[in-house]
Amino acid sequence: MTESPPRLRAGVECVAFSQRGLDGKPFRWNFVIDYRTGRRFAVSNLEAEIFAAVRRCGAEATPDRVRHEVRVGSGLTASDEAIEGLVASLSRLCLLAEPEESAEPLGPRQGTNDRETYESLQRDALSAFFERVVGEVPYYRDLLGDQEPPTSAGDLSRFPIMNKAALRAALPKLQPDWLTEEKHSVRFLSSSGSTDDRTQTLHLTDELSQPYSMGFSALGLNPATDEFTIAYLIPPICSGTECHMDMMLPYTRRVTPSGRLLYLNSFRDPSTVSDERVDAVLDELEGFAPSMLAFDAAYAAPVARRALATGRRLPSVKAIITSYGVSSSLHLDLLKKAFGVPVHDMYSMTEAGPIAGSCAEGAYHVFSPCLVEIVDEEGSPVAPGEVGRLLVTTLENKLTPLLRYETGDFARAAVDRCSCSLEHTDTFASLEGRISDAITDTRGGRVVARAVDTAVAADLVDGALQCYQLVQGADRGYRLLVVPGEAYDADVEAALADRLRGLLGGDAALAIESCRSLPPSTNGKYRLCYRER
Amino acid sequence: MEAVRSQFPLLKREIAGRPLVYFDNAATSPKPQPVIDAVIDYMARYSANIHRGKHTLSEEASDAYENSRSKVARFFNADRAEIAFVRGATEAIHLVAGGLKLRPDENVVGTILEHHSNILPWSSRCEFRAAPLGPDGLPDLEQAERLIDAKTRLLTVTHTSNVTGAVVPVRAWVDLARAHGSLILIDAAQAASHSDIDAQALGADFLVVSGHKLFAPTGIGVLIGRREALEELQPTPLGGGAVSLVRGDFSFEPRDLPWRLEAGTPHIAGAIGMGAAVDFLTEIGMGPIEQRNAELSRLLYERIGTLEGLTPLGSSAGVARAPILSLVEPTGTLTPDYLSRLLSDSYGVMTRGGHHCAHPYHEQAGVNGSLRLSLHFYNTEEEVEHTARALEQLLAMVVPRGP
Repeated sequence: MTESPPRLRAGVECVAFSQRGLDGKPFRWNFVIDYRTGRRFAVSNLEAEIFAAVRRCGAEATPDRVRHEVRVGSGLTASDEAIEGLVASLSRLCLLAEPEESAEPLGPRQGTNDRETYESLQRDALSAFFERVVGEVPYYRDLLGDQEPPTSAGDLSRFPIMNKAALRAALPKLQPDWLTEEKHSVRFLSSSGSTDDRTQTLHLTDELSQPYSMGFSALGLNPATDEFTIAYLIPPICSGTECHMDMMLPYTRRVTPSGRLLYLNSFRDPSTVSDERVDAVLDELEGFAPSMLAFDAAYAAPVARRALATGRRLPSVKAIITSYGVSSSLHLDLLKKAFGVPVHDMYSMTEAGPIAGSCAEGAYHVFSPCLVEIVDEEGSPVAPGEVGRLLVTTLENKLTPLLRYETGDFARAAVDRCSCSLEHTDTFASLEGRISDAITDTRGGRVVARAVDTAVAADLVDGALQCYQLVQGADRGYRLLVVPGEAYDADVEAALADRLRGLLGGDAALAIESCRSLPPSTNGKYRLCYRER
Repeated sequence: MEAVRSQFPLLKREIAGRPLVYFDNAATSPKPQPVIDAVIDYMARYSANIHRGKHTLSEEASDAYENSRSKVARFFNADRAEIAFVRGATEAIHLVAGGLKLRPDENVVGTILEHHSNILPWSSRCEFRAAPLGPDGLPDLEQAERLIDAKTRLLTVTHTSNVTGAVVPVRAWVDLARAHGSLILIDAAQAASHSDIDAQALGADFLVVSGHKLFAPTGIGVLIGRREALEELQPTPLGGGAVSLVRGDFSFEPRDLPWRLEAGTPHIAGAIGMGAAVDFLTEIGMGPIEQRNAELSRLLYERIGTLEGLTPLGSSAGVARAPILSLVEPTGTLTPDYLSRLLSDSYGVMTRGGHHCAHPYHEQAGVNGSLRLSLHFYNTEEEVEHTARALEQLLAMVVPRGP
């Protein structure tokens, strides 16, 4: 046993999952999870008990105390070797606390999942995925039955890409054979169609909540603790249809029974929402006092703006998670300024679950149940730093497994490895916008939403714009629709015109129009740019 | 059949890689080419306001509009003066409810089977009493009679349920109203394109029809009434076209029927389209349409209404039905919304999931919505089979075959 008392680092938990095996008998999985790095380690039942004993000992975890706790507290017959072996493993995996609390924040030391191991695990997972889907999913059996399994993530490019139309057409054949042979709790999910093509997918009910927990944990947030409470402010549209979120439902109908998740009453149009509605959101935020916020940035912007204008107290949260597409830096900066915390973006989609999350360095780290490719029009990987179509392969979805699924989004490939504690994972540099939203410059070159946002919003005078939308007309002219802020003036307008001509071409026919409001799309999401058809 | 189907441009669209199957006729019917042509012709060649203009285009438009009224009158065997163009059945019912000047202490007797549009215009003005359904799934006439009292101004019933397709023996309801000295309104929104309705023979005071369920454009319909009953209605709203004179003291003289019920510039293109729609149906013949729909209804209930894992609503043998079938998946995994989306996106079958504007009916049935398949004469047996197989595939995903 190590010399210093083994004290577990904060954010390290042992979690048990019950499952039924192929023989129908229940069995238990135990995982030691490091919520700060998203790493998971399978442990035996005995090791789980030793872990619990170490946890119970807390700061008093001397070797004798741990042995006593295991044998007397848990009533187990564990050898010294077993106990010391686990504690040594925890130490090697950097799951034990640093001697000093100040050394606790994540750093390279926690990145012990080196790249080689990561890739090795990824190859194993990919191999298992391929074997599983070819063996039990009719669609893949027909499509890939005679092909050699991929040898690595980089080898995926020789397989066909699945688009949304193919998913819709093949949905029944995308389910494993065993689904119809025994009873399973399943649920359909419907995507909002924000990339122009809505889809329906089938999932095991048990699998639905788990990935999101993993998504949070990969961002260093531990949703398993009692302190984890989260408030959502998202568009009032579910699966492309109106939902209850803008109906001013009573609090009791929007908070989960555990009291840890609150859906704030949302609104149809963030650009016209009344101060009273925003104040109601602020009142609830103050009362609920969440530790986390999950926002569509466009919907949260009026809340942040109002709080800054009135000096309202905002809850002290650890971080803000944004989602729902490419957010404008206008809104992200506003959120950071109002709440004073990091903003992480979680990239997820209904069909695949959470795919990646952005770290403090801004890189998107791919969550381990997924593989991401960024490819050109021919389906080959783009060069580092280039923009391409984002494909996802879901390695763990038992139902509706997806191989090289066209997400409908553009992303930029990473140039270097990220320097954060998740440096061993696959990353991409940024989300660049929906393919369906992309416009063209005067030379016919592609212009993505992120580029538009950089041109319009980066380093703009504080408070100059509330929101905007760049519309390319059918005649190839451009209109920048802006909802001006208090600092908007002729200089800002001239600067915007210059910036956009720099992006679109000096000969671009551009009009800038001030509007009192800019409603979101019918699916509730904002588009930073689009082309009229 | 192919000749008929070729007249619907909508059916040439492909969704999910195959020609679409349109099973949402109860919500609105597809528009045949003659209707589209008639509307375009008005828009392109003689788009003008009616009645009040003296120029050529206005006279052409007025002729076409009034000609459509004549066509619709012939289609329902009514007099021209008894046909008022309105936005649809909902507005027609409001026109009656508002025109009767109902008082809060009066009541209207209807049924639990009604569309919201045949409940709310009444319940917002007076007491609405709903007769329950009998064991056959039809509104219980005896129970309805018990609801009638001295304060009952009107009886109302749907001719054909937009949820179950059940055809109500409305003649008995007309007789019941007559026996009690009440007015009667028949909601024929769903029935008008399925059944050969003879307004004179039926003898109801009011009959309401939506054009868009009759292969006509949206935003047009008719209120058909007995002349005496229509005369009794206080015209609401009032405005240009509904009066022949407004004096200096702002008193006015209403125009004759039916124009007094058509204030403001009407939906001229829609009315012309409705004329073309009834021509289209007349050419095919309502007799053959009724016969075809009876065959489709039987097939629909036998093939899809009996699928294991789905429960039909209001199913009962021996009841005449339009080819409309509403289903629920009892485990709730395949909600009506998802079923409808899946059928659309993966199989190209357009259906409707939800309450079909009949919340009270669904509530008494104890279900939270249903999937509705509503067919019409141009639909085919192959489409029914395709849909049945699609449902079987979807059910197999959530309802295992094994033990």
